[in-house]
Amino acid sequence: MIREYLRTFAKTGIALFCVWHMAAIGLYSMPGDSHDRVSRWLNDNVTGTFVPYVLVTSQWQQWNLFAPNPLRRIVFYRVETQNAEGNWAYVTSVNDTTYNTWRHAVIFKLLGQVLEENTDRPELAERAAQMFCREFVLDPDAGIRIWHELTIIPYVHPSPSKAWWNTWTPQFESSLAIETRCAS
Amino acid sequence: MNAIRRAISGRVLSGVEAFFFARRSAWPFGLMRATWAGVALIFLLRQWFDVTAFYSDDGFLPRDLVYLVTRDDWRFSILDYSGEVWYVWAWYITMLVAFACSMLGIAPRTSTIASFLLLSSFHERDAMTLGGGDTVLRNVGFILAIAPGIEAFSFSRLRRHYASWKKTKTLLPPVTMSAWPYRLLLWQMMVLYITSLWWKLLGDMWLDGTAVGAALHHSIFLNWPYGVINEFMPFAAYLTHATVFWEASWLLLLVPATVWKWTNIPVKRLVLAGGLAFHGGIAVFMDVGVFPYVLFAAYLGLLDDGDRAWLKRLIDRRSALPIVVLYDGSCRLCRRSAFGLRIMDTFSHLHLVDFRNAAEKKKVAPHLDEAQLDLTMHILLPDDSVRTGFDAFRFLTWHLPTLWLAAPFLYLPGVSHLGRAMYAWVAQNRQKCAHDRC
Repeated sequence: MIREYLRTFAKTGIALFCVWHMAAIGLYSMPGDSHDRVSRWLNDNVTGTFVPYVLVTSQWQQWNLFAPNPLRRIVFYRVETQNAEGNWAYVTSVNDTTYNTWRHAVIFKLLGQVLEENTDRPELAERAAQMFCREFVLDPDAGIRIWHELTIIPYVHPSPSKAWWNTWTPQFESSLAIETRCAS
Repeated sequence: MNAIRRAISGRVLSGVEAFFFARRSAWPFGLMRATWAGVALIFLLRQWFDVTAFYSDDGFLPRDLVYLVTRDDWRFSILDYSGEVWYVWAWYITMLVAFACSMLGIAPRTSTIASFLLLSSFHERDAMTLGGGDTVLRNVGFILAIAPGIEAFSFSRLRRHYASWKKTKTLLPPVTMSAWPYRLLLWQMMVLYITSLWWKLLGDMWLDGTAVGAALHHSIFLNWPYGVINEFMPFAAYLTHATVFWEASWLLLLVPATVWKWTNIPVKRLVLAGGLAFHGGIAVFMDVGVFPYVLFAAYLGLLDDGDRAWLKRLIDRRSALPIVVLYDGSCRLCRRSAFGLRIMDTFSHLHLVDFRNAAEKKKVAPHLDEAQLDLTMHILLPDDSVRTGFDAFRFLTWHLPTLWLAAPFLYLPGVSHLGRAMYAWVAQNRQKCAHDRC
């Protein structure tokens, strides 16, 4: 009899946990900027209850991959160093041929975060510059400049033809990401 | 009135009981565990040259800067305690070992929990390198860590199977588990695809058909030159809309399976087939990390006995079955080999017969002489033809899914000569094996 009670108790606990987990990840994953009233109300009033659970179990998730629209910005990087005469000299370009297939997507994701998406956090860009100093063996205390080389994949509607794409060539524009000195 | 209320609550409770606790085969979760761990292991090994840069204080994100890119609350990482290179590497290697053990099924429960916890620790330490696939790795890992029945397809279970085989010449009964981990997994997949669709509907490009064309020109992700990709541009709009429709098709899985059984439409199988095509296409054309591969692993966990039976029917259509395998029950090596064949015989294509057992042999191969059978393994096909030795083994590989990948290699020039010679040598020396050791 006691065993039967315990079993029922355990099953009830598991079923409640499943419902809790399903609600938690479902609500956490809802687009935060959706415009309908129901999801806005849920986001404002209910989702918060589940957030600690989702975070502590590392189940955080947002499925906005290639959405709402696919990423159209392509950013490569150009590294320059300052020589003894004070002139800036080209060191390297970090582009789609720099890293092998195994590494390039993940490294560009990282560089995008530190040199592009967190422009309000200059410490990250500074750190990336120091990593470049080490990777490209620049002299201690040498000046280093990292440029964004940005192009944007065009948005043409309706979907362009093969012939149109064949004539398209990316045009890159430069802008300074960071200028600093390698650590001595 | 009370009786009606009791009847209704009884039905609801039994419905809940069936929904969460109906028994189902555990092999899909065992297979998912092995594949999940294998995929994670490969992709973690890809980070070998970047471990220091990604996770240590010598890298892009020393611990004193972590607060800039991640939260403070409800966060735990074992890598918060030290940023020394040796410390990070020690945990990295431990994580690789844990995933290798989980993949092989060595202490599957412990190794799977350890794998999930360590993976989460690394992800919490540096979220800047993570993509959608890494999130799915954690989502599936969490479900595996708490699910019962993940010991299917494990080394631990293989040993217990062998003990049973030695005693009774039968394998253990299949592992079963409650349905709730399957429900969690299915819900996780639905959340992934349906919220992904929701996000897409908030933009313009997935609706106007231009999204795939743009995505396939993003050179950070692209595996092919533009010249090749442009050949597919006439289909870009169709592919964009197909993606949206396929993601929407996951909503159909909210309809109870009994309804679909009644209509005879294999909805889940069709949705998963769509997923194979979609993610397979992504894997071929783009580098989006572990994403497609870990989803394939998750799909394995969504299979059930009905899918296995369907696949068996599909495969059996091409073959005359069963294949009788005559082995020497007096030789330990042969008994072990027979056990190996039995374990790998996923679709029950083989009928294993110990030719030292006269009654058994008489039933299936009265025309074959024992002295002849003693020389080498014989297999009998339903058309009464016989194959022996290496040729028999090569034939069997087409019927054992675990050996499918190896099968074509056995036809390479020279392999058959080498195989026959090796087989003859092993057959000649097989009686030297004793006490389960050769």
